[in-house]
Amino acid sequence: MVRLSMVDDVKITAVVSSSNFQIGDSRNVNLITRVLAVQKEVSTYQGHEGDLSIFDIYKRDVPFPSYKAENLQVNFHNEVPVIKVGGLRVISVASSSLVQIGSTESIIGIARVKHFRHYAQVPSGFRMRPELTIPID
Amino acid sequence: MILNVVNRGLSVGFIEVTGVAVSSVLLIGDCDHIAMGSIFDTPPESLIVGTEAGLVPLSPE
Repeated sequence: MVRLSMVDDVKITAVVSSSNFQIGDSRNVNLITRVLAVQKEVSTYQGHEGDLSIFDIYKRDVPFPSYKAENLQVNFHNEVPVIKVGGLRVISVASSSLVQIGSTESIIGIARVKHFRHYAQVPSGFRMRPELTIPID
Repeated sequence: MILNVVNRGLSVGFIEVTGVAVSSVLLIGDCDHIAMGSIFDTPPESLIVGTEAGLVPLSPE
């Protein structure tokens, strides 16, 4: 039914944050990740930062394209039942991502990323709009 | 509707990818159903200025 995947050579440097590198067939792949990215000018931490529950982004639904199920019959005929790849080079697989050599039935991936920048003082040449920022000291 | 798909020979020389990130798929094979979604949020109020080391609490969203 499904085709055979043949890859001669693979090199992957990094697989991080709810990601997967799979060799072989699978049925269902579910990848879910929640990221709070903080970019700090001065790297100081108090130890209690990062409460995800106060941010709405981690609770709201992720939009997926919807489609109406219609009467659709798809027939596959694999005349050559092999997918051949000479070489595969990937530097990084990150945040609910998948690299798979093989076949699967279903893949579901959800990634929620919220990003902060934290400066010690206003960067030079940067025009601050006070109504848009929250100075907290 | 009836859709007939004929898969003839598929041979690829070399694949070079820098990054597969934030709900993405690189698949060498067959798949029936793929659904990938992501939310990325960098609102203006996520810019913090000050020497206070804490990250929270900020206004939710």
